[in-house]
Amino acid sequence: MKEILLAVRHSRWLKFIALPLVLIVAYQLWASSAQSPFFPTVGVIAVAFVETWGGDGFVENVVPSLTNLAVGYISGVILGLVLGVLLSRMTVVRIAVMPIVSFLLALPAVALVPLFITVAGIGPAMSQSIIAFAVTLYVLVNTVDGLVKVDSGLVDVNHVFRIRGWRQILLVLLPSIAPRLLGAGRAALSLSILIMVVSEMVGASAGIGAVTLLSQQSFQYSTMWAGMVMVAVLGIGLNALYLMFERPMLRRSGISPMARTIK
Amino acid sequence: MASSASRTSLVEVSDLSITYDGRFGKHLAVSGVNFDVRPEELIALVGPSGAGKTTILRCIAGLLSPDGEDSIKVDGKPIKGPTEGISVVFQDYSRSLLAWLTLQGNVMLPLRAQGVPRAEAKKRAREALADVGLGGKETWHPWQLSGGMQQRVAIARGLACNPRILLMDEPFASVDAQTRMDLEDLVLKIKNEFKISIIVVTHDIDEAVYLADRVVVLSKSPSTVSRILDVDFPTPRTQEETRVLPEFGEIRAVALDLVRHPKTETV
Repeated sequence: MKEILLAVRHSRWLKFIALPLVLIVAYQLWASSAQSPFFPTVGVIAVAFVETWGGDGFVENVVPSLTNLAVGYISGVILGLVLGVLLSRMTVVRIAVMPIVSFLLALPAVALVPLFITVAGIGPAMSQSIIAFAVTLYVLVNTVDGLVKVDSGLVDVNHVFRIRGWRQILLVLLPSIAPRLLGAGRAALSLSILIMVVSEMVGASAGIGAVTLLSQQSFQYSTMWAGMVMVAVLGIGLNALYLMFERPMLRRSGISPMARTIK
Repeated sequence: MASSASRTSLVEVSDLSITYDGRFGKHLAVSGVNFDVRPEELIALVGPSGAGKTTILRCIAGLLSPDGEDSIKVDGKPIKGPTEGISVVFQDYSRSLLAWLTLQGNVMLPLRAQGVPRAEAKKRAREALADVGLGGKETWHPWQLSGGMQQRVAIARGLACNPRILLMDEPFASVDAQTRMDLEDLVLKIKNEFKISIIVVTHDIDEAVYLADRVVVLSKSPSTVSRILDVDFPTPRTQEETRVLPEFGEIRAVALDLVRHPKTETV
């Protein structure tokens, strides 16, 4: 026992998975004794996971979901950045528009699913557009906020050395708010996964969210659990991927991994 | 006093007044300042805190508008904002250098912004970095350097633009005393080698007297010029030899007295 504790103490990786492992083991012990249809054992869930998302299941459900996510997220980021930069430069328009933007931001995007179904019907277009909408809003607000408060030292440098236009935006202004934008991108990613799942539950026949809800409605609880585990895997996996991409960008600006803004 | 110098002056500051909107209404910071800067001359601008030294420098840099359109002339022409041939070195290098660019990238940026082709910009950037003693570190990032070295990068960035006038706003205030002496000697070397005029705003009287050909002493705000002191030390000079000269002590004493006990004498 002492050896195990010591090993955990000295390995960062083990520390990371130690408590989750304990919880999974605890669940397994409980589920196998309780024998409830709503709470299958870990083994049963694992089998259902492979069956549901392997082979055909992957192509029919996981790929469409990920596609919707990618299209919605990436277009949202691009649109948010472009509109954010434009608004930061157009003071009058910005002052007029920002209250509306703040209101929309306060509104939970998932509450708008029925509206999006009305406009875009049921299917990939709906999921992609509502994800794009939420991400655009989020990135836009962070971009505008950051650009409007650019350090006066940089403003002076731009002025004195006559650095203007796209060069100013791409080489000076946006990199100066990169930590903030990267943090926003990460939060927006989590938001996108959420919206993707919910929009599919309500308005799709294929996709991870659709499969999860349908299986619950047809009493296939192990498949339902497989669905929830898949969403968790997606969340953790995409987040880890994002961090891998974020770290070198921050390091280039001399920012250590510990000093990141949390949104 | 100004008219005989005006034909050879590079920068003429005539009756400069600056009013800006402060928290409690309009504030007259500078009220009728006159001085000129000749080619290959180093002017030190000193005065009590709040006198408006940085404000005047920012006006010459084109970052602030003076009250009168013709108050500041370069080559006889009034300036209308940031001017070709004038480079600036700011006090806070951590806020004026770009962390995400290399030293080379930082120095190249103004050149590229002004349309210099990439290859030439790179060459000029490398030369400027070598001139300030940072040769070989072109691909480093500013945050990998000490404060003194970062300020050298800022100087290199100003130099690479081939300016005729270099403006420095308390450039060595954030740097330790020993490094400050090295950087002061660097400024003198640059002035002599590249034949540029330099205006240095500084709180440090010793630094002003060591560096300058003339020291312009400002009064309290709303400031005017209290006195312009001529300084004549040999070129090249060393810190150790110059600072013990009796003339150094004399000029320093006059300047220090004027700064610490500002009067309202106008020149």
